[in-house]
Amino acid sequence: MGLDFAAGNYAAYVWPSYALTALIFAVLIIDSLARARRWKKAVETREREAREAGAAAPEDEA
Amino acid sequence: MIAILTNPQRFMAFSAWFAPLLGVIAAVLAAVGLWSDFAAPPDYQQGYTVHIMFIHVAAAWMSLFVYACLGAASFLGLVFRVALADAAARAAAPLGAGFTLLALVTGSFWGRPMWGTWWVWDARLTSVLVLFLFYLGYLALQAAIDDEQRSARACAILALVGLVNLPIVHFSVEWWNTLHQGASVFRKDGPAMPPVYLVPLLTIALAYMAAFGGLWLVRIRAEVWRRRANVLALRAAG
Repeated sequence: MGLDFAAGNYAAYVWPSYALTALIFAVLIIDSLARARRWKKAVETREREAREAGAAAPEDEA
Repeated sequence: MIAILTNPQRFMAFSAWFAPLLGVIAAVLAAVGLWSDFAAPPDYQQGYTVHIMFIHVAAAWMSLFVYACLGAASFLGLVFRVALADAAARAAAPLGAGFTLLALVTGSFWGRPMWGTWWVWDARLTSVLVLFLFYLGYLALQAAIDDEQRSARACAILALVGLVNLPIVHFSVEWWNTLHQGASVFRKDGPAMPPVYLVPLLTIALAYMAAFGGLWLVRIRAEVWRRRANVLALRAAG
């Protein structure tokens, strides 16, 4: 079965619909992944800072 | 799913492999769906605008399904205090808003050549617009209240109120005279469309469903990390 990408007189309606679908999915995917990456990094940074602060604390007390 | 939502550690372990798997499934289904979409002949009445129908109807189904997930998560969070239910509700809202926007705009692109108008205030279109406003209201309320617990409770109540709109959207084409056509797939006497159109529609709908599942899990994971980061920041400050 061959593919037919013709849209005839309706191209002005068909292709913007597909472009919008691609755009919305791109926004949702990028936003979701970026959000997850940002907060994972924030947790890692704050855990590292907490470890460093914990390691430094006995020296401060001394 | 409820058992997983009650235990954040179990959820993080489960979602770490299941979210990418859903992403792969969504990509494969999208490829198959688009292939069968553009292999389908133009409809004898709709012509080539039948291509819009595949992405529009699937998005419309998802707009309802995601809101049902949002409502269920809100109920579990508000009534049973399930650990990750609030996070699941927060994570679902932007995805549902995206699907609803997609349904509204692609519907307009289909309506202009077929009905001769971009928009008409009939019961189906108006109730879907109300659904979109519920999503936006949820997101606005969430952003407006700083206190996390108060925000979660207010958003959950709004989400539960919005559930009333789901049967209105679904049955609007039966309860009122609408320009929008009635159901053509989920009918008592079977689908009213031939397999050549039914296959791409259902495949694209499954692709949307898998994509939603994967993105939902990713966003819940982000929410778990956000809360963890806030706890660590408070601990460091205090």
